[in-house]
Amino acid sequence: MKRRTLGLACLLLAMLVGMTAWVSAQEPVTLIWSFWGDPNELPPNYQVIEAFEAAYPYIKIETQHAPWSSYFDRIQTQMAGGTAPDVMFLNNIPSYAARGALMPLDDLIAKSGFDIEPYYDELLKIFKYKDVIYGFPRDNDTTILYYNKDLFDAAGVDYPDGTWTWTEFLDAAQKLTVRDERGRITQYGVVLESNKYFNFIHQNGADIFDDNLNPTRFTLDDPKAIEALQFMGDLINKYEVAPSFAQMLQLGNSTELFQTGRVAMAMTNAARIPTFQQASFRWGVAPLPAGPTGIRANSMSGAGYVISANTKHPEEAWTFLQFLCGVEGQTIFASTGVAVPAYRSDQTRDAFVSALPEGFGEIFLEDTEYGKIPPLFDGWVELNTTVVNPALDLLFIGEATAEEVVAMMKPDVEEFLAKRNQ
Amino acid sequence: MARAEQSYPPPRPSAVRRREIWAGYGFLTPNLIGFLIFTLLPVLAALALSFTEWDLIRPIQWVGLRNYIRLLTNDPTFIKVLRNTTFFVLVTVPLRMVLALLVALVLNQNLRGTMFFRTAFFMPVVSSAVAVALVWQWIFHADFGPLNSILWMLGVSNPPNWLTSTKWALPALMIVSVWQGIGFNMVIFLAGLQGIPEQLYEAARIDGATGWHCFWKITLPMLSPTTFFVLVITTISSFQVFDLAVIMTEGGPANATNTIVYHIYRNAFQFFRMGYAAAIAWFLFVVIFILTLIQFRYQKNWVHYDL
Repeated sequence: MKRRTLGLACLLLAMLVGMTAWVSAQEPVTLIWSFWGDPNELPPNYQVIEAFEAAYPYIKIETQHAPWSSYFDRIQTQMAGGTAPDVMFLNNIPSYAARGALMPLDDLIAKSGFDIEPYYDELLKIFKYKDVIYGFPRDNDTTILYYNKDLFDAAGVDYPDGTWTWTEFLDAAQKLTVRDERGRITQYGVVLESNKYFNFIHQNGADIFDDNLNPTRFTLDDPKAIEALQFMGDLINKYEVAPSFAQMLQLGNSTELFQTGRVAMAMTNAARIPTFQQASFRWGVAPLPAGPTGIRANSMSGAGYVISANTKHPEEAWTFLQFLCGVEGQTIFASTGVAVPAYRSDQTRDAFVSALPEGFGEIFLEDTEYGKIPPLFDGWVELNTTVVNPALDLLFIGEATAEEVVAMMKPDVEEFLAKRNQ
Repeated sequence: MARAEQSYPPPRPSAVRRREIWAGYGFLTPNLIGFLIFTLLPVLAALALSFTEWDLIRPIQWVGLRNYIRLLTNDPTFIKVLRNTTFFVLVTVPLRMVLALLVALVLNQNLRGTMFFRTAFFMPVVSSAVAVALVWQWIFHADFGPLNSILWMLGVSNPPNWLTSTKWALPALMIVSVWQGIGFNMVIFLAGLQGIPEQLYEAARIDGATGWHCFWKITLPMLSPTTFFVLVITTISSFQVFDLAVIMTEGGPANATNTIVYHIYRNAFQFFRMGYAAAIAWFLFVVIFILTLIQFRYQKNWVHYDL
């Protein structure tokens, strides 16, 4: 009797120990993943979670969502309190990496053999700080020329065919600008975006710094850069085919202006497609026009995913990041058609192309190959906000020439560079 | 007075009185705790922070007076926002007061429809700042805005570009701010006006005073405590102008509408310079504090509290 009890107890104990071992191997971990986005940008995030949790049942993903306008304040505060989400959607990676908020990924990449080859080299550069990788892009912010076919037809202008340079572009924009009897513009030829001015500079074979990630020299005073800026200024103030950015605060942004048929062409990214698909007119997309000497250039930038330096679950966070940024996650994002894949593979390409109307996807992907990165380094946001943009404002509202505004910003930018490179 | 108190120390309060004192503090406690935790403590923390460098993540570094030195010697944007804000205060404070007083005087008459107009003038105060800013953005539109359409009809061939010119953007914000601020001041003035005893006017009229005399000799002096209060409050709130600049112009074009508080916000939450932002905030605090002290110091020359 006694022996039987003992035996039973032993058995129970063994079972208990066994169960504990099993449980600890599968100890569920909850990761917090934060992102911003409009309601129509969110569904792919939840698809990723569903697919990931199915593949890794012991990791649970909790989301933290905030709109763009309040997202960064919240993340800042959480970083300060050491409670940042484990995995974050973020931009301006170097400025966070410089402050030690992000986990360096080089060792993890080496250990796990995660393949980084498929990423655009140029794009991966903005996820590095001091040559160490801190994250991976979700997509590329490829800018494309959207055009309103109805307005083109009404003005008798041929659709952009991919061979346009600035000359044909300006010519079309002029024909597509309409004024009322009092001379007020009721329809603009084109709408630009203020944070894309470097596309024009790149298309003219110039740049803002000698190296946009580790600048030592300010090169915006190159006559070619000045010519590009002046071309933008002229579109707004001389030819009057585009609204100034200050005016767009009143009129509406590029998406709103194009969607309501108040401009014939817009230069913006793929995220606008779902909105434009609700428009009541026919429209198409074309590559950005090339510079006067035929140089093509597009934007190469984009937000991406990083791991917090303070995460309590680095292993699981890395597992999730690989899924998110690897072929599985990237295919899900690409299949929405609003995210130009940053990861080159047959799967992502097919997913993206088949999500869009026929012929659109190829144009995005082809122009992405001409992507060039804008300036991005620790301190750029401040330099841009306090020195570069206020000066450019004067050009874009027509109160100064490109040459004058570059001369205006040059001493301050050079002082900043001198301090930075001490 | 002071000497009298010294020679006759107040008698020990009675038990009833003491209980009342404790009850008084009891009622004050919730508010006091709120004030300590959410106002005084952060203000003092900001003072301490202003002598440091902190980007929210890396450890806080003591830098002594460096933030203040940079503020006064090496921040061109700060000079610009200081100039903008001062100009804004100098123009809007008098306008917000004089116009509010005029409106209050008119609406203090027993005329038909005063209730309606009082409500109408107070509407901007209770309207959402964002909605207000968006509507005004449209009013100011250079080509299609109603304001320029009116100017055009009046024969102004080249009306200002308002929000898209460095010359007119700040005046445009001032117009909105004045429009927005009149209602609140008007209500305070109305309350003040209604506190002036009617007999004073009757007596004056018997002595043959005109309406003009009554205004200068009775209304203004009797209203002076109210005017003083309005002056102090309006000055402080004008220095803190922020929301209009953010929504209507984003501080632009070319910093033409950038303000001190917007500069504080940008330094703290866009450039991660918490210490520097705190230094600017304290600079603003000291400026407002000194101005308020001056106003209190000189009030005895023009403010009359006795009947």
